[in-house]
Amino acid sequence: MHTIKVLLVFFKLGFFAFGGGWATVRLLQEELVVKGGFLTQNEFADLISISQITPGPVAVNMATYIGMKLGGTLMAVFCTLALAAAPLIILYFLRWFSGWFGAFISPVRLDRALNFGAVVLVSGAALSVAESLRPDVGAVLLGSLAFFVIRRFQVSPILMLITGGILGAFFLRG
Amino acid sequence: MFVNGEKKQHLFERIKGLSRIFFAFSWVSLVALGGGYSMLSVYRHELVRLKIVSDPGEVLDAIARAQSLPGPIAVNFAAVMGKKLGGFSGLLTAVSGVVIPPILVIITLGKLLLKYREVEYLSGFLYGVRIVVVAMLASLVLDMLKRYRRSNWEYVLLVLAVVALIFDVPGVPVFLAMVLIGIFWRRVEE
Repeated sequence: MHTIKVLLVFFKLGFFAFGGGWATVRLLQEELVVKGGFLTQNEFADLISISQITPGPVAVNMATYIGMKLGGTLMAVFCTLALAAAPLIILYFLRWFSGWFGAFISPVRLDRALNFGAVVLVSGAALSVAESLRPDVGAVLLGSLAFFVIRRFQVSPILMLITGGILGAFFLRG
Repeated sequence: MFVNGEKKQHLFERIKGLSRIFFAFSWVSLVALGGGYSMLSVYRHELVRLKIVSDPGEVLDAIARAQSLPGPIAVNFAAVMGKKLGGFSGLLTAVSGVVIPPILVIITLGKLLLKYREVEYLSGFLYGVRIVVVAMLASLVLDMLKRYRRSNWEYVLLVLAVVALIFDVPGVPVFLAMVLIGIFWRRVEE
Protein backbone atom coordinates (compact mmCIF):
# COMPACT_ATOMS: atom_id res chain seq x y z
CA MET A 1 0.00 0.00 0.00
CA HIS A 2 2.77 2.35 0.95
CA THR A 3 4.56 1.53 -2.29
CA ILE A 4 1.53 2.48 -4.35
CA LYS A 5 1.14 5.72 -2.44
CA VAL A 6 4.75 6.68 -3.18
CA LEU A 7 4.34 5.82 -6.86
CA LEU A 8 1.17 7.93 -7.03
CA VAL A 9 3.04 10.92 -5.60
CA PHE A 10 5.55 10.72 -8.46
CA PHE A 11 2.87 10.08 -11.04
CA LYS A 12 1.08 13.22 -9.87
CA LEU A 13 4.30 15.23 -9.86
CA GLY A 14 4.80 14.36 -13.52
CA PHE A 15 1.54 16.10 -14.38
CA PHE A 16 2.12 19.21 -12.32
CA ALA A 17 5.71 19.86 -13.20
CA PHE A 18 5.04 22.89 -15.39
CA GLY A 19 7.97 24.17 -17.36
CA GLY A 20 10.15 21.33 -16.11
CA GLY A 21 13.45 22.00 -14.39
CA TRP A 22 13.62 24.80 -11.90
CA ALA A 23 9.96 25.67 -11.86
CA THR A 24 9.28 22.29 -10.28
CA VAL A 25 11.73 22.46 -7.39
CA ARG A 26 9.37 24.25 -5.00
CA LEU A 27 6.68 21.73 -5.78
CA LEU A 28 9.09 18.84 -5.26
CA GLN A 29 10.02 20.27 -1.87
CA GLU A 30 6.39 20.57 -0.81
CA GLU A 31 5.50 17.05 -1.91
CA LEU A 32 8.66 15.13 -1.01
CA VAL A 33 10.01 16.94 2.05
CA VAL A 34 7.04 18.62 3.75
CA LYS A 35 4.09 16.34 2.88
CA GLY A 36 5.73 13.02 2.04
CA GLY A 37 8.59 13.16 4.51
CA PHE A 38 10.71 11.05 2.15
CA LEU A 39 13.68 13.40 2.40
CA THR A 40 15.14 15.77 4.98
CA GLN A 41 15.68 19.39 3.96
CA ASN A 42 19.41 18.73 3.83
CA GLU A 43 19.08 15.63 1.65
CA PHE A 44 16.82 17.61 -0.64
CA ALA A 45 19.38 20.39 -1.06
CA ASP A 46 22.14 17.81 -1.58
CA LEU A 47 20.14 16.08 -4.29
CA ILE A 48 19.61 19.35 -6.12
CA SER A 49 23.35 19.96 -5.99
CA ILE A 50 24.10 16.44 -7.21
CA SER A 51 21.59 16.57 -10.00
CA GLN A 52 23.30 19.71 -11.35
CA ILE A 53 26.50 17.80 -11.98
CA THR A 54 25.02 14.45 -13.06
CA PRO A 55 22.90 13.47 -16.06
CA GLY A 56 19.13 13.72 -15.84
CA PRO A 57 16.57 16.30 -14.69
CA VAL A 58 16.19 17.10 -10.97
CA ALA A 59 12.81 15.40 -10.68
CA VAL A 60 14.07 12.20 -12.31
CA ASN A 61 17.11 12.12 -10.02
CA MET A 62 14.93 12.62 -6.94
CA ALA A 63 12.51 9.89 -7.96
CA THR A 64 15.40 7.45 -8.40
CA TYR A 65 17.03 8.39 -5.09
CA ILE A 66 13.84 8.22 -3.05
CA GLY A 67 12.84 4.93 -4.63
CA MET A 68 16.24 3.51 -3.80
CA LYS A 69 16.10 4.78 -0.25
CA LEU A 70 12.63 3.36 0.35
CA GLY A 71 12.82 0.04 -1.46
CA GLY A 72 16.07 -0.58 -3.31
CA THR A 73 16.94 -0.66 -6.98
CA LEU A 74 13.67 -1.98 -8.39
CA MET A 75 11.65 0.63 -6.54
CA ALA A 76 14.05 3.28 -7.86
CA VAL A 77 13.22 2.23 -11.40
CA PHE A 78 9.48 2.19 -10.77
CA CYS A 79 9.41 5.62 -9.13
CA THR A 80 11.28 7.07 -12.09
CA LEU A 81 8.91 5.42 -14.56
CA ALA A 82 5.90 6.74 -12.63
CA LEU A 83 7.30 10.24 -13.06
CA ALA A 84 8.04 9.80 -16.75
CA ALA A 85 4.57 8.43 -17.50
CA ALA A 86 2.79 11.78 -17.40
CA PRO A 87 4.37 13.40 -20.46
CA LEU A 88 3.62 10.29 -22.51
CA ILE A 89 -0.04 10.35 -21.55
CA ILE A 90 -0.39 14.09 -21.98
CA LEU A 91 1.29 13.98 -25.37
CA TYR A 92 -1.70 12.01 -26.58
CA PHE A 93 -4.44 14.06 -25.01
CA LEU A 94 -3.05 17.53 -25.43
CA ARG A 95 -3.50 17.68 -29.17
CA TRP A 96 -7.26 17.45 -28.76
CA PHE A 97 -7.18 20.58 -26.65
CA SER A 98 -4.50 22.65 -28.33
CA GLY A 99 -6.80 23.92 -31.07
CA TRP A 100 -9.55 24.69 -28.62
CA PHE A 101 -7.15 26.48 -26.32
CA GLY A 102 -5.62 28.51 -29.14
CA ALA A 103 -9.01 29.99 -29.98
CA PHE A 104 -9.11 31.80 -26.64
CA ILE A 105 -5.60 32.99 -26.20
CA SER A 106 -2.65 33.76 -28.44
CA PRO A 107 0.54 31.70 -27.94
CA VAL A 108 2.58 34.83 -27.22
CA ARG A 109 0.18 36.00 -24.54
CA LEU A 110 0.08 32.55 -22.98
CA ASP A 111 3.87 32.42 -23.00
CA ARG A 112 4.04 35.83 -21.35
CA ALA A 113 1.58 34.72 -18.67
CA LEU A 114 3.41 31.43 -18.08
CA ASN A 115 6.66 33.34 -17.84
CA PHE A 116 5.04 35.54 -15.18
CA GLY A 117 4.15 32.49 -13.11
CA ALA A 118 7.43 30.72 -13.79
CA VAL A 119 9.45 33.66 -12.41
CA VAL A 120 7.69 33.10 -9.10
CA LEU A 121 8.36 29.37 -9.20
CA VAL A 122 12.05 29.77 -10.01
CA SER A 123 12.34 32.28 -7.15
CA GLY A 124 10.64 29.60 -5.07
CA ALA A 125 13.30 27.10 -6.13
CA ALA A 126 16.01 29.55 -5.07
CA LEU A 127 14.26 29.89 -1.70
CA SER A 128 13.97 26.12 -1.31
CA VAL A 129 17.71 25.71 -1.70
CA ALA A 130 18.64 28.88 0.18
CA GLU A 131 16.64 27.78 3.22
CA SER A 132 19.26 25.12 3.89
CA LEU A 133 22.23 27.52 3.83
CA ARG A 134 23.92 28.81 6.96
CA PRO A 135 23.72 32.61 6.84
CA ASP A 136 27.42 33.18 7.49
CA VAL A 137 30.22 35.16 5.84
CA GLY A 138 31.44 32.19 3.76
CA ALA A 139 28.08 31.54 2.12
CA VAL A 140 27.47 35.23 1.39
CA LEU A 141 30.97 35.65 -0.05
CA LEU A 142 30.88 32.58 -2.29
CA GLY A 143 27.31 33.35 -3.31
CA SER A 144 27.98 36.91 -4.37
CA LEU A 145 31.22 35.93 -6.08
CA ALA A 146 29.38 33.24 -8.07
CA PHE A 147 26.59 35.67 -8.95
CA PHE A 148 29.11 38.24 -10.14
CA VAL A 149 30.98 35.73 -12.32
CA ILE A 150 27.74 34.38 -13.84
CA ARG A 151 26.51 37.87 -14.76
CA ARG A 152 29.84 39.14 -16.05
CA PHE A 153 31.38 36.19 -17.88
CA GLN A 154 30.20 33.29 -20.01
CA VAL A 155 31.29 30.38 -17.83
CA SER A 156 29.99 26.84 -18.23
CA PRO A 157 27.54 26.10 -15.38
CA ILE A 158 29.18 22.74 -14.64
CA LEU A 159 32.57 24.42 -14.19
CA MET A 160 31.01 27.00 -11.86
CA LEU A 161 29.29 24.34 -9.77
CA ILE A 162 32.37 22.18 -9.41
CA THR A 163 34.54 25.16 -8.51
CA GLY A 164 31.95 26.10 -5.90
CA GLY A 165 32.03 22.54 -4.61
CA ILE A 166 35.81 22.46 -4.32
CA LEU A 167 35.84 25.81 -2.52
CA GLY A 168 33.12 24.47 -0.24
CA ALA A 169 35.05 21.28 0.49
CA PHE A 170 38.05 23.30 1.65
CA PHE A 171 36.54 26.36 3.31
CA LEU A 172 32.94 25.62 4.25
CA ARG A 173 33.05 22.27 5.98
CA GLY A 174 31.00 21.51 9.09
CA MET B 1 9.37 -18.88 -47.05
CA PHE B 2 10.45 -15.85 -49.00
CA VAL B 3 7.86 -13.66 -47.33
CA ASN B 4 8.97 -14.88 -43.96
CA GLY B 5 12.58 -14.03 -44.78
CA GLU B 6 11.58 -10.56 -45.88
CA LYS B 7 9.66 -10.05 -42.66
CA LYS B 8 12.67 -11.10 -40.67
CA GLN B 9 14.79 -8.66 -42.61
CA HIS B 10 12.27 -5.92 -41.91
CA LEU B 11 12.19 -6.74 -38.21
CA PHE B 12 15.96 -6.73 -38.09
CA GLU B 13 16.12 -3.28 -39.71
CA ARG B 14 13.54 -1.99 -37.26
CA ILE B 15 15.43 -3.29 -34.24
CA LYS B 16 18.62 -1.80 -35.63
CA GLY B 17 16.91 1.56 -36.04
CA LEU B 18 15.45 1.46 -32.55
CA SER B 19 18.73 0.52 -30.91
CA ARG B 20 20.39 3.42 -32.73
CA ILE B 21 17.75 5.70 -31.25
CA PHE B 22 18.27 4.17 -27.82
CA PHE B 23 22.04 4.59 -27.80
CA ALA B 24 21.89 8.10 -29.26
CA PHE B 25 19.48 9.23 -26.57
CA SER B 26 21.33 7.58 -23.70
CA TRP B 27 24.53 9.16 -25.02
CA VAL B 28 23.03 12.66 -25.05
CA SER B 29 21.49 12.07 -21.68
CA LEU B 30 24.92 11.22 -20.31
CA VAL B 31 26.79 14.13 -21.88
CA ALA B 32 24.17 16.79 -21.23
CA LEU B 33 24.95 17.26 -17.55
CA GLY B 34 22.77 19.33 -15.32
CA GLY B 35 19.47 18.93 -17.12
CA GLY B 36 17.15 21.82 -17.89
CA TYR B 37 17.44 24.19 -20.78
CA SER B 38 21.23 24.22 -21.01
CA MET B 39 21.22 20.65 -22.26
CA LEU B 40 18.91 21.27 -25.18
CA SER B 41 21.69 22.80 -27.27
CA VAL B 42 23.80 19.72 -26.55
CA TYR B 43 20.91 17.56 -27.72
CA ARG B 44 20.64 19.44 -30.99
CA HIS B 45 24.35 19.24 -31.67
CA GLU B 46 24.75 15.57 -30.79
CA LEU B 47 21.63 14.24 -32.52
CA VAL B 48 22.73 15.87 -35.76
CA ARG B 49 26.29 14.61 -35.31
CA LEU B 50 25.08 11.05 -34.70
CA LYS B 51 22.90 11.38 -37.83
CA ILE B 52 19.73 10.57 -35.93
CA VAL B 53 18.20 13.67 -37.50
CA SER B 54 19.42 15.35 -40.64
CA ASP B 55 17.89 18.77 -40.07
CA PRO B 56 18.61 20.75 -36.87
CA GLY B 57 15.30 22.54 -37.42
CA GLU B 58 13.51 19.28 -36.68
CA VAL B 59 15.11 19.26 -33.24
CA LEU B 60 14.06 22.86 -32.65
CA ASP B 61 10.46 21.98 -33.51
CA ALA B 62 10.53 19.08 -31.09
CA ILE B 63 11.98 21.33 -28.37
CA ALA B 64 9.20 23.87 -28.89
CA ARG B 65 6.59 21.13 -28.55
CA ALA B 66 8.34 19.61 -25.53
CA GLN B 67 8.23 22.96 -23.74
CA SER B 68 4.47 23.12 -23.93
CA LEU B 69 4.14 19.84 -22.01
CA PRO B 70 4.36 19.51 -18.24
CA GLY B 71 7.05 17.25 -16.82
CA PRO B 72 10.83 17.23 -17.14
CA ILE B 73 11.82 18.81 -20.45
CA ALA B 74 14.38 16.11 -21.30
CA VAL B 75 11.75 13.38 -21.02
CA ASN B 76 9.24 15.43 -23.00
CA PHE B 77 11.77 16.09 -25.71
CA ALA B 78 12.65 12.40 -25.98
CA ALA B 79 8.96 11.56 -26.19
CA VAL B 80 8.27 14.07 -28.98
CA MET B 81 11.44 13.33 -30.94
CA GLY B 82 11.20 9.55 -30.47
CA LYS B 83 7.63 9.52 -31.72
CA LYS B 84 8.63 11.45 -34.80
CA LEU B 85 11.51 9.07 -35.50
CA GLY B 86 9.84 5.73 -34.90
CA GLY B 87 6.21 5.97 -33.82
CA PHE B 88 5.15 4.70 -30.45
CA SER B 89 8.00 2.20 -30.12
CA GLY B 90 10.40 5.01 -31.04
CA LEU B 91 8.87 7.09 -28.27
CA LEU B 92 9.33 4.36 -25.67
CA THR B 93 12.87 3.68 -26.87
CA ALA B 94 13.93 7.33 -26.74
CA VAL B 95 12.36 7.90 -23.33
CA SER B 96 14.04 4.83 -21.83
CA GLY B 97 17.30 5.88 -23.47
CA VAL B 98 17.08 9.27 -21.75
CA VAL B 99 16.00 7.90 -18.38
CA ILE B 100 18.23 4.84 -17.91
CA PRO B 101 21.68 6.53 -17.58
CA PRO B 102 20.52 8.95 -14.85
CA ILE B 103 18.87 6.06 -12.99
CA LEU B 104 22.13 4.10 -12.99
CA VAL B 105 24.21 7.12 -11.99
CA ILE B 106 21.91 8.15 -9.14
CA ILE B 107 21.57 4.60 -7.81
CA THR B 108 25.35 4.38 -7.62
CA LEU B 109 25.91 7.89 -6.29
CA GLY B 110 22.95 7.65 -3.94
CA LYS B 111 24.33 4.54 -2.29
CA LEU B 112 27.67 6.30 -1.85
CA LEU B 113 25.93 9.39 -0.52
CA LEU B 114 23.93 7.43 2.04
CA LYS B 115 27.15 5.76 3.17
CA TYR B 116 29.52 8.73 3.23
CA ARG B 117 27.15 11.58 4.20
CA GLU B 118 29.16 12.29 7.29
CA VAL B 119 32.49 12.73 5.48
CA GLU B 120 33.19 16.44 5.85
CA TYR B 121 34.80 16.98 2.45
CA LEU B 122 31.76 15.54 0.69
CA SER B 123 29.24 17.57 2.66
CA GLY B 124 31.44 20.64 2.19
CA PHE B 125 31.55 20.02 -1.56
CA LEU B 126 27.79 19.67 -1.79
CA TYR B 127 27.33 22.75 0.37
CA GLY B 128 29.55 24.77 -1.98
CA VAL B 129 27.56 23.53 -4.99
CA ARG B 130 24.35 24.54 -3.22
CA ILE B 131 25.55 28.12 -2.85
CA VAL B 132 26.42 28.34 -6.54
CA VAL B 133 23.01 26.87 -7.39
CA VAL B 134 21.30 29.69 -5.49
CA ALA B 135 23.44 32.27 -7.34
CA MET B 136 22.61 30.64 -10.70
CA LEU B 137 18.91 30.69 -9.89
CA ALA B 138 19.03 34.35 -8.91
CA SER B 139 20.67 35.07 -12.25
CA LEU B 140 18.08 32.94 -14.08
CA VAL B 141 15.25 34.92 -12.45
CA LEU B 142 16.82 38.15 -13.73
CA ASP B 143 17.05 36.72 -17.26
CA MET B 144 13.45 35.53 -17.16
CA LEU B 145 12.28 38.96 -16.02
CA LYS B 146 14.07 40.56 -18.93
CA ARG B 147 12.25 38.45 -21.49
CA TYR B 148 9.18 40.66 -21.38
CA ARG B 149 8.74 44.30 -20.50
CA ARG B 150 6.56 44.44 -17.43
CA SER B 151 4.79 47.27 -15.62
CA ASN B 152 5.57 48.34 -12.06
CA TRP B 153 2.34 46.77 -10.85
CA GLU B 154 3.43 43.45 -12.21
CA TYR B 155 6.68 43.74 -10.30
CA VAL B 156 4.75 44.49 -7.11
CA LEU B 157 2.66 41.37 -7.72
CA LEU B 158 5.77 39.27 -8.28
CA VAL B 159 7.25 40.45 -4.99
CA LEU B 160 3.98 39.68 -3.19
CA ALA B 161 3.90 36.19 -4.70
CA VAL B 162 7.48 35.49 -3.59
CA VAL B 163 6.62 36.74 -0.08
CA ALA B 164 3.66 34.34 -0.10
CA LEU B 165 6.07 31.50 -0.88
CA ILE B 166 8.33 32.57 1.98
CA PHE B 167 5.30 32.21 4.26
CA ASP B 168 4.78 28.68 2.96
CA VAL B 169 1.80 29.27 0.71
CA PRO B 170 1.83 26.23 -1.67
CA GLY B 171 3.51 26.85 -5.03
CA VAL B 172 0.85 25.56 -7.42
CA PRO B 173 -1.98 27.93 -6.38
CA VAL B 174 0.45 30.87 -6.43
CA PHE B 175 1.67 29.85 -9.88
CA LEU B 176 -1.84 29.43 -11.26
CA ALA B 177 -2.94 32.75 -9.76
CA MET B 178 0.00 34.49 -11.41
CA VAL B 179 -0.68 32.89 -14.79
CA LEU B 180 -4.37 33.86 -14.66
CA ILE B 181 -3.46 37.41 -13.65
CA GLY B 182 -0.89 37.41 -16.45
CA ILE B 183 -3.53 36.48 -19.01
CA PHE B 184 -6.17 38.85 -17.65
CA TRP B 185 -3.74 41.74 -17.30
CA ARG B 186 -3.02 41.90 -21.03
CA ARG B 187 -6.71 41.77 -21.77
CA VAL B 188 -7.27 44.87 -19.66
CA GLU B 189 -4.42 46.80 -21.22
CA GLU B 190 -5.32 46.09 -24.83
